[in-house]
Formats: sequence, structure tokens, C-alpha cells
Amino acid sequence: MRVTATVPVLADNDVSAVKWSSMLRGTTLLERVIRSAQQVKEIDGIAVLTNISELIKKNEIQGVPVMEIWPWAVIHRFDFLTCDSSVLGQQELALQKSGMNGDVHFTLNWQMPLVSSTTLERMYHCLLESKAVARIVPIYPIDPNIYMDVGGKGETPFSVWSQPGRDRQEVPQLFRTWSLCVHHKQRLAGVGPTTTGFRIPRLEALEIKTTENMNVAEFVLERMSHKISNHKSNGTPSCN
Amino acid sequence: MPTVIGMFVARGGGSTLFRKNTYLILGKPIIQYALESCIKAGFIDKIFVWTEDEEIRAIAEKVGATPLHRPKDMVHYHNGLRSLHEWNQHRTEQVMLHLGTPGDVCVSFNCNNFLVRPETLREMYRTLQEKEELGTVTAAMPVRPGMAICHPENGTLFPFWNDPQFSYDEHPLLFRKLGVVIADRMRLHRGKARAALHMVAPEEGFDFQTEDDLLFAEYYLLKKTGQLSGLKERSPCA
Repeated sequence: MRVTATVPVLADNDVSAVKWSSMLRGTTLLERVIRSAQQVKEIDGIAVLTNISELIKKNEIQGVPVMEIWPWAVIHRFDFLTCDSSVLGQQELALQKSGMNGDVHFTLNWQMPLVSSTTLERMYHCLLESKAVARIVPIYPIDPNIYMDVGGKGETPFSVWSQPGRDRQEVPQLFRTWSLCVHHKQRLAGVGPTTTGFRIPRLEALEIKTTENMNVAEFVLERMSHKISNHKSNGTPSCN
Repeated sequence: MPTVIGMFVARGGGSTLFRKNTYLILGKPIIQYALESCIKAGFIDKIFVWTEDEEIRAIAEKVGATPLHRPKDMVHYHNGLRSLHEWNQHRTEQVMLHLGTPGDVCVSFNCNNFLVRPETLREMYRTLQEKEELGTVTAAMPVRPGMAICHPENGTLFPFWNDPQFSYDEHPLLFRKLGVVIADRMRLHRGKARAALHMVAPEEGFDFQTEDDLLFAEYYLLKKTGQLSGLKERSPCA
């Protein structure tokens, strides 16, 4: 069994104030993600996939090869809840082309640099211990009382996920998902592949897209006095 | 002029974090931040704290709010002993004893949202005053799309407000109501009163629920009070 991991770094995602090269406590966001993956002993190969020329020129980063991403994937949304067989088929073909089509594959997210190696390992074990799950994505619970602002003026709130008078803890739980995933190649090829969630710690769920997100991450890491210890991660599977 | 009251329903326990309302953040209980925000708003005539807890009573009195007695059979939402109508009636009767009126306008404030600013409360109140058709104005914050429900039997994630044909920027905007509401009692009694949302930034709408939130709460609080001096100014790229 071969276990692979890729970190897509797309130019489209790189237009915001935060870039793959932004520094978080002395390390770039991308290097942090690679470092976490390198600490997962089950992973046999890691690659950075990108369409950013500056990155492609580097050839490797943190000892990991940098490959030019296949053109199709540039428009891929990395939506890991999809059951669309054409999307999944293209994804598999693209991974084959890059030589990163392991039996189990991680797609990592450079904007989630605080996801620990422990969390990745647990996602991996969760996947293989299940009998039928094709994909596992990180999740974190979010509150209900959600409304749509019809008209955009704040004057016509339309209930989307809420029931007035009901305690919010009784409303069916919604979860936030992210573009980060571990998948099982064979199971993913079946009809309607099953995707389940793995609840990650709040801090690891911090997605860094703005300088404000960076400041929060910096502050939290500083308060924890040193960079996140993988041994302290307490993510627990919430589904299955 | 209408009589405006502030109402804090605050118990000593807590379902997500034990003794949350008195939990210390940067040396101060979160209920005190919330009370001070209401006081600084400047338009509330009297602030009440309905509680069964001695520590919360003491904090309320310390900042100049008025604690109201909360019977122990009105502390737990699901104890099956009293209806919510009885809860409301109990509070109103006590407010009547203090003011001789139940109040025309009520600012309800959940301490979880202790970062809501006095300026926001003033803007919400102004909106309520200016628009006759409104019965309530509720603080709300944006919610990013891309969610999922977990199937209760097999754990499968089912996408919610998550259409892969569109980027997240293209999804219709969603908002979460916070526990900060300003209501006009008479307009609500007349019926057909409309409800409006007042948008706040995510950091102001921060919801303190569990210990996991603590460091984030500290960050937002330090930022709000201009005490983030330890963090260097950041340039976008390395």
C-alpha cells in the first residue's frame, strides 16, 4: 500500500494578502504544512502541485518536489463532498499523471498550517479502520440560528437553519468543512462514495486567508509559548 | 421618552462551559465586560441581571446593575417545571417592582457575545427608533458557506449551503443571529412588527462557548481595547 500527499498551491488562491510564503513564527505557511505531513510516518511521498512560476522554479521545497499542476486542476475547487463521478475520475487521472496516486492519498491545504501531524495520522487510521468510508475531511461544529438576508439590507431575515424558541443545542448540528482530505482510492471509485468528518481542535481549524487570521494564529501560538506540539492534539472522530 | 431596560439572563452553571458567565478573561469575568458595554451604550435606563448565583449578583451590583431574584426552578431550560412564559412573567413582575413599568424597550444581552460594542448597541437602538415598522433589531454576523450535516446513522457528510458550481464568494450570504436583541414591547404586542438584523464584524460577534475559545477571546479582547502591542505590524508577504 502506498500513501501519498499533495499540497496544491494555486495562483487563484494566492491573490489575497496571505500567500504560501507568508511567515508564521519564522516558517512559511507552506513549509509548516509540509513539515506536518513529513512527520506522519505512514506517508510515503509528498509533492507540492502548483501553477505559480516562482514556486515551480524552486524544484523542491523542504525536501519535497514541486510539480507543475495539471491544467484541469487549476479550476478544480477541491470540494471533497462531491459524488460527481466525472470530477472524481478527472482527479484520479490527474493524480496518476503526477505519480502521486497512492492507495491512500492526502490532499493538504497550505492555508491550514496548524493542522497537526497527529490529526493527519488519526484521519488516516480512521479511514482504514472503517469498512466503507472513501474520504475523511476535517470538520468543526458551527452554531445554528442562521438566516439569509433577503434584499441585502438586513431588514428581511429569512430563517435557513433555525427554529425560534428552540435551544440552539437542540438544533441538528452543522459542521464547517475544509479543503483538506484523506481518501481511499478504491473506495472513491465506487458509486456515491461515502465522506465522513473528523472533528479537529479549534486551533487547527484556523484557516489563514487574511492578515487578521495570521495575527490571530501568531497570537495563539505565542500564548501557547511554542509551536503546536503534535502530541497535544486532541482531535476525536465525531462521525462513524 | 421610552423607558429602556437591559436584561441579562445569567445563571451560575452553564451548558457548554461550567460557570461561563463568571469565567475570567484577562482578569475580568465575561459578564462584567457585557454589562460594561451596556452601561457605556448610554441609552439604557436600568440594567437588570436575573440570576440565582451569588457571584453574579455581586458582579452586577459592583458595576451598578440591579440583580433580580431567579428561583432555582427557573434555572434549567429543560427541567419541565416552569414554562418560558412563567420565566418571562417572573422577570417582568420584578422589573415592575423596581420601575413601576415593564419598560418600553428591552435590550437582551447574552454574555457569550461579550465583545459586542456600546457603539453597536447605540446603532441598533437608533435603527429601532427610526423605523416604526420594526419590533426587534438583532445583532448578526456573517457565516461562511460550505457547511455539512452529518448523517446520524452512518456519519456521511451531506453538503449544506455548498454548491460546487459556485465559489463561496458567489453563494447567497448567510448570517447568524447573536444573543443581543433590542425589542420594542408595544410594537411587538401590536403584532406584525418586523425583525431586522444589524450586521457586526465576526470578531465582534465572537461567541464564547468553550475553553477552546479562550485564546481567541483574549486576542479579540486585546484588539478591541488596543492592547495588542506585543504583535508586530505584519506585512502581507515574507
